[in-house]
Amino acid sequence: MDFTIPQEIEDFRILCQSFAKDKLFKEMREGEKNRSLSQQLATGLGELGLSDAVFQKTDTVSLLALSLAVEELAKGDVGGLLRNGLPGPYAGAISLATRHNLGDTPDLEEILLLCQSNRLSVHLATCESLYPDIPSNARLAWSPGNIEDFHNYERQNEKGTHVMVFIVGRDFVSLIPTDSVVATSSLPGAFEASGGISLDWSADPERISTLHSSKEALFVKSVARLWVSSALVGLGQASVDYAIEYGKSRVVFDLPVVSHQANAFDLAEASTRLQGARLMTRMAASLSQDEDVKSSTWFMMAAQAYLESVEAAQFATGLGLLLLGGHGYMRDHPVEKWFREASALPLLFGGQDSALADLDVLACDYIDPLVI
Amino acid sequence: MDIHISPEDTKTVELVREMGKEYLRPLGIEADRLQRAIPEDHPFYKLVASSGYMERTLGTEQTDSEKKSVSKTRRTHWVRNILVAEEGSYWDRGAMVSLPGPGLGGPPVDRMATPSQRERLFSIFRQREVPKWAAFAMTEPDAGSDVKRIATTARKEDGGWVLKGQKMYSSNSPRADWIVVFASVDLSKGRDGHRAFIVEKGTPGFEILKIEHKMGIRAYETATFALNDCYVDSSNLLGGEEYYKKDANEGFKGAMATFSATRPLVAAMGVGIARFAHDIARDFVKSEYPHTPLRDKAISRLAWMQQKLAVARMLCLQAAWRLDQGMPNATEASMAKMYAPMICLKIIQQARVIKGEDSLLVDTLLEKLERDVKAIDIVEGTQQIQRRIVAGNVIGRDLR
Repeated sequence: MDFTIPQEIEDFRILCQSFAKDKLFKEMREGEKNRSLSQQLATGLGELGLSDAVFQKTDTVSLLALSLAVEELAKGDVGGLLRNGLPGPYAGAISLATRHNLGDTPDLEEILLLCQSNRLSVHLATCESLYPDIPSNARLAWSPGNIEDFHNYERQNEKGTHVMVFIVGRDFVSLIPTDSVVATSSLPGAFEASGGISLDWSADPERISTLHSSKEALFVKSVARLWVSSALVGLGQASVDYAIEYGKSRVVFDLPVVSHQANAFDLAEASTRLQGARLMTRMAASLSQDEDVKSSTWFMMAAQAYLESVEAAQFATGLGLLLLGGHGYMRDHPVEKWFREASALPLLFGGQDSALADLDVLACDYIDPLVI
Repeated sequence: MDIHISPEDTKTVELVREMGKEYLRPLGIEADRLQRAIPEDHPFYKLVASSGYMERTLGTEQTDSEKKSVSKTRRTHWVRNILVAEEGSYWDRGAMVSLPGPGLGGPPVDRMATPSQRERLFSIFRQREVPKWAAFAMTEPDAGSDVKRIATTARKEDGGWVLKGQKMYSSNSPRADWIVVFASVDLSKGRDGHRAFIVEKGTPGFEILKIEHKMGIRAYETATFALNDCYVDSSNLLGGEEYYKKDANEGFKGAMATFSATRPLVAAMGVGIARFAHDIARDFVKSEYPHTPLRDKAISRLAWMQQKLAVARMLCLQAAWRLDQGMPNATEASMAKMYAPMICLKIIQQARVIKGEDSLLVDTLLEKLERDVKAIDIVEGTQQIQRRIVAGNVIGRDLR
């Protein structure tokens, strides 16, 4: 039993923390207005080294590094992170595509270059509730990115963007041919800096590259869940920290807001729930790299961590907004943004019902890895 | 990060599991129905003593180099104790707490005692012939959560100390060979007047006043006792006089450090109780639950219980692990103690929902588990106290 974070991952976390605090957070308001991050910031995010940290080996992904980095970066801006912080939640899908030579997937070396130079555009749709089989036509209502990037997908062109559109079901992962996809603009009510596109496709089933494997489908979803889980813990913590700083200086009924027991108790609960979610997320991420642990074990823990993070972040961001009172509702403070993001993030990549469904399947035969 | 449990810890947990199946569960159920603790002379305790269990709970002494690098805490076994506490409480929390060993008296001795005191107090647990107990006493009739209000006094006299006052809710104290008693050498100094003393069995003036009649966890005694001008030798001042010269607050800090060690343990006991409730519900769903749409709902409840158990367990383990590493853990200990009892009660209530009206019956044990787990929310600092500590630490200031 060990909760130590390896030094190189800790160093990377601190690097991400500085980037989030000094750059992402400061510029996010501009990013929201323009519906994108500045080119300089987007490049900085790409060059941060997320892809190198995540794809350390060709056959695996380092989710612990991803988890810690995303937790910090999400305090800066989740929208920018979704669009420019690749491989992001798509690390599992990209890894699978390279491992199984799915469709027109570049090799890992090229993927790393595309990530660093922000020339990769990845989209992931989950369809288990709507389509039991691989759909030849479907729609993804929103995904980060913009039309220009999508249309400029000539990989051979040095300045072009490589586009990957994945669809994951209960027991398959498919890569949709890009030329069969129609993209239109799509504005989300959160993650402004990520922009957004809707994707519709109608492809000949023969041209859809598919891997039939429930294990790999769970792998792709679990990586995405851990990414969301880490981001939720980060923005939940950011909201609590912001509310504490505000509540120390704001005096009501002769006491700082945070010194009123009712508020202090809620802050204690928010911090504790976030800590529980954080530990679950990190342990699940760590288990994913442990060869002695069955993949089903970390898939389950990832789903549990995800659901725990949703609850914790929604509680924490709701509290953060509430403690600022009327100020919290105004866009002058970032707590309203974190509140919207904590509600919106769990809608992506299958959402809570997908995680619950995966847990339900195993619930009757569940064995906790920590019960000897 | 690493989730693997060491072979030594696995062995200890397996030992507790065997003991739990055969003894802790049946004895705990019997104690609950009879509404009285397992008798001190029960042959089971002799068996426990002879197995070496008491010594195992003392853990491993650190090497000299480890002492330099980590911790005022001498022993490096808190993760193991968490695993043992959970497993033992899975079988019966009351019977688990009744087991011989230093119990809650161990942590203050660990932190505060001189080497000779440690040897004297812990050596009785290394012999395997006779079961031995120790206890801890802080709470008083007029001082519960706010421990700085304790009114038991210690007066220096004839080269020793005279203790006067009353302590209550002290687990295993009627059978303890020694009890760590917190008293004040100067009531006007508040926390700075706190000192820890060892009161040994048979000390004149020590008197058990009442053995409490509890809602649950009935397999061990919880008692109120009086210290009627109890004289203890100067060697019974924990840490000796030097210890308190470093900082007048050391006595209080020793008590708080005790809680930082014991709170994750108590929280883990809640996890053990709730895990048993989960298993009852899961077995019911697997084998007996009718295949109706309601079964899907019950399975979702199970999945929720599993998630919450895993989170509670992780909080307990991290708090204990930090202690093993010599890292500050007061916030983490209180987080575990705040979260686990609250969520474990809900888990048991969900198990009762799955079992339906059957869970009203004594035989299903779920109503007993619910009574038992509620104690976890109170002992070693109530949930409100844990919230107060966590809030104070995350806000970075004392709460008024």
